[in-house]
Amino acid sequence: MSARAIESLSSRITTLIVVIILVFLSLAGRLYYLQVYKSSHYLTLSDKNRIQTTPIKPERGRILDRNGTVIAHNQPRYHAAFDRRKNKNFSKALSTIQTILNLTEEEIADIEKQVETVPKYIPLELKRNLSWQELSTLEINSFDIPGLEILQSEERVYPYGESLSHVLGYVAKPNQEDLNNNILLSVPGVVVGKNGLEKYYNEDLSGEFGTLMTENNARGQKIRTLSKEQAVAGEDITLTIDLPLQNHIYELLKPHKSAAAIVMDIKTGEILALVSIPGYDPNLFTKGISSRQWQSLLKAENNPLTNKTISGLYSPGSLIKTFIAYALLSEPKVGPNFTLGCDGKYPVGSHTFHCWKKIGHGQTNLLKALMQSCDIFFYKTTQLLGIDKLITTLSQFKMGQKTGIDLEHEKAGLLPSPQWKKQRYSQRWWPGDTINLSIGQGALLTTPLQWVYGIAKIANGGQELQPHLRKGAGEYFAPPSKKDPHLTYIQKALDHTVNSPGGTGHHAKLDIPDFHVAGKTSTSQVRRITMKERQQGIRSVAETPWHLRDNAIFTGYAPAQNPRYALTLIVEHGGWGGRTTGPLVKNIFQYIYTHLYKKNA
Amino acid sequence: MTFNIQKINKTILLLMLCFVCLGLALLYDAAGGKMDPWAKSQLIRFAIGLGIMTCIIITPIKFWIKYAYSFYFMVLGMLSLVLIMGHTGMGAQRWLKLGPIQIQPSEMMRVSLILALACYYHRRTYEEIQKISTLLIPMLMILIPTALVAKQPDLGTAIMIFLSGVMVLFIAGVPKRVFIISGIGLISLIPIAWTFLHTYQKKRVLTFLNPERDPFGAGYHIMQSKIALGSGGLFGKGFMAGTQSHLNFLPEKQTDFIFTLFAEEFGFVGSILLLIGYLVTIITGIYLGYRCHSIFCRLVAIGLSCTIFLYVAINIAMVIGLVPVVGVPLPFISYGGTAMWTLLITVGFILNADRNHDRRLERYY
Repeated sequence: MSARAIESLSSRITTLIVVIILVFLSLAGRLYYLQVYKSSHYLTLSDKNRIQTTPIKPERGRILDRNGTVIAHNQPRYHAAFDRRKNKNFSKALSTIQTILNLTEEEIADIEKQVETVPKYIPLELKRNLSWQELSTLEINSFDIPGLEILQSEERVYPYGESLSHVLGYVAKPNQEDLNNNILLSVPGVVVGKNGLEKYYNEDLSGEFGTLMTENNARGQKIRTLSKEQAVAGEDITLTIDLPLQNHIYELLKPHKSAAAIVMDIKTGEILALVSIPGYDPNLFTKGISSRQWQSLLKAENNPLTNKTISGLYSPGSLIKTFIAYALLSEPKVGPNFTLGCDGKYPVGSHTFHCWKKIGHGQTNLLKALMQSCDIFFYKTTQLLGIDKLITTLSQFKMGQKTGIDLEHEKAGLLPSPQWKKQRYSQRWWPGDTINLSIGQGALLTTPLQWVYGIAKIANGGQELQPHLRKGAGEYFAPPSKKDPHLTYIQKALDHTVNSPGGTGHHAKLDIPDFHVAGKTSTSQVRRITMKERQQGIRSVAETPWHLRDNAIFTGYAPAQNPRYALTLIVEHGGWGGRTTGPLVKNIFQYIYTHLYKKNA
Repeated sequence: MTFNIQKINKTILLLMLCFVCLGLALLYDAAGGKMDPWAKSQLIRFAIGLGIMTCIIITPIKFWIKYAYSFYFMVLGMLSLVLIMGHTGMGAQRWLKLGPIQIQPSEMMRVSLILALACYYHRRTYEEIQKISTLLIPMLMILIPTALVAKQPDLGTAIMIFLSGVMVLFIAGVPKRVFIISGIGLISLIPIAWTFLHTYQKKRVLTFLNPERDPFGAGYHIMQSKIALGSGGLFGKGFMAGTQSHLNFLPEKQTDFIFTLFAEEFGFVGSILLLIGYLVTIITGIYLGYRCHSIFCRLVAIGLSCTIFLYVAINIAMVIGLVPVVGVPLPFISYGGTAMWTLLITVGFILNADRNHDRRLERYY
């Protein structure tokens, strides 16, 4: 070892030892401070640990719509609670309280469970949301029962209950799992978000507990307050939802048993309305839903608890053609000028695939195929395109993928592929599978949110989007620098579909010169018409029972000239797409035109 | 070379034995004057640990130089495995189950990292070490396990792995400017990173830095711990007479917070004596390293002594409220199998390095 190395080593070891000694000295200094200098202070504190720390509940943040209207707020309420530090004999007190408050067996069991799980510094919750009668009885008796307390807290209120139920979700008493994560949630009156935005943004809405530190005498009575750290109220959250539009759509769709609709700004990804029919009353959950009510909601027809816009999985039907068209336009074997004849039938092997129009569409190019929703055109051209390219394009439009919206329980759906089929069923991919996919049927499962995402991407010229409900929560992307001619082509076709004679969307045509609607209708099969039925002359599912009828879908945007608002609408079992959704689409866009478009213009 | 028991350093062994006895007494105390549930099983673990330690001491040092890297990569592999298995929800993230034995690779990483670093510098000349390029591999050797452990997430152990690695680099002779520049760099990065955090993340960091913001979680422990310590006074309340600890105000009194129990019962005088005991152990370890002729032995002895220092410093600073609660045990005293074994392994390596202190070892075996 060189001399320099030895010298360096010695100096470094000295440094190390000096550091170690300094650290130990500071530890010793701190110990001196605690154990000698402040000893009498801590000795007093330790004397039966008379210092009590009590958590202070934070107020939950409110939720506002984009115009600042409050759509979820808190209303003061009173709870009966019991501080066990002030009265050691809780079980004796409980029997008195039981008679005053008329507690049920169930409530008593819950309180007894709390006694075991909740730490002593948190008061036990005896009863939530006291009535005035209960409150006054308790006030009179509270002097005789040490430890009994009446605490003020808030109850969540949703003034526009059902219309916003799937956006907001609801809050409820914390369950055991919540308590395991944070025992402070057992403070009386605390609620946690259980669904929708209340759950997604629970952390921001909840705020932080404060602390009250008091010195008490041996009987647990407060002598003085040592320190008080105020609770930090939860943040208020502003949404991108337009409340009047949301309510309008909800009322409009309510007569249909089961439906869903989304309106989204195609440039920002801001969701202006997100409606799922039927809704439910979220206020039920705040009050503590009875198990009978819960069971009836669970079993209710048409799943009121499911948000169909993000968790409803549907075959998209012909609206998928809009996205497939994008792949066909860039395919050299097809392109914009490709024409073929449609005679209503397309035999593949032993099976014959049919066009929805029995006599066929005759000579058809892509524009006409989109406008009149010719099935044969897509059967044949997707065979030329090949399944791989088809899947790539559909993935670009997020079919069968989550969009990442700020809501719980978004489903991905399924975009079938040869690999998937091999893995799932150990079967090879048949041409028939591509044919089914080409008209949005078969194993393909998508959500309405994916449709509105896809159509918005067509309408905005290919700009990336992040659909979101909280103002500012989504990333904003720059529009593409140059126009994509293929998208312009599809936009033209969607315009014709609604506004030209013979287009399948003509029911949705709106007679406002500067606010044309563009879009694609879709009738997606819930069940395939069997060969037998076909022979019996049943061609339309309208002749079958309601729950087997086709879903009616519209996906489009307006104004066609300068796209701004995307709309997706599905009426479950609504029958023929254009006819059912057309008037609804017109109505919604008319409303958007008067209340949003013209106001902003 | 034959094994000569005369060459084993007695100071460290004796001090270690004292700590372990004190630990057993405190565990007996914490259980309210009973051997169950802690003292007895700790005694069994200590006996097993002694066996492991003996094996490490008698293994020829050449073997450890030869397999230092393999050992390191094996532990690194286990760390990754823990992360992967943890992600698929097959068990707790810190633990790896091998048949009936559960091991915590992050603990073993503290030892294997130092062996690997010592081996790396053992094979470099003084001039090579002065070059910045020589630093690249050791940095990766430190940062990869640190990141893996931090991801578990076990911030306390991650910080310990990182710091002990840095201390080895320092003793190995890495230019001082490297430490100064990267220290300044790290500190100036904090405000930048801060602006990228969400409001609620900032709140969490603040609570982490100052646990008294959260008086019912970590802050509750700290407050109770301070009351217990402070009320101990100069001479303490006497063995088995600590009121705070025994009234169950003190959480984790048998593991990370055992120092509080000790300090309440033995007072300031007891705390200082314990601190001196640790200081003597650590400095003896460093001295043993200093007199080693080979770089490998020197870095192993000094590096491992530094980890004992980190254990003591972080644990005590934590219970007296100087640093956030990160879950680091008090060496030889806290209840817990892996920690006990890791420390006995640590001592084993220090003693092995020391019994070879006058040998000049080849670079490669």
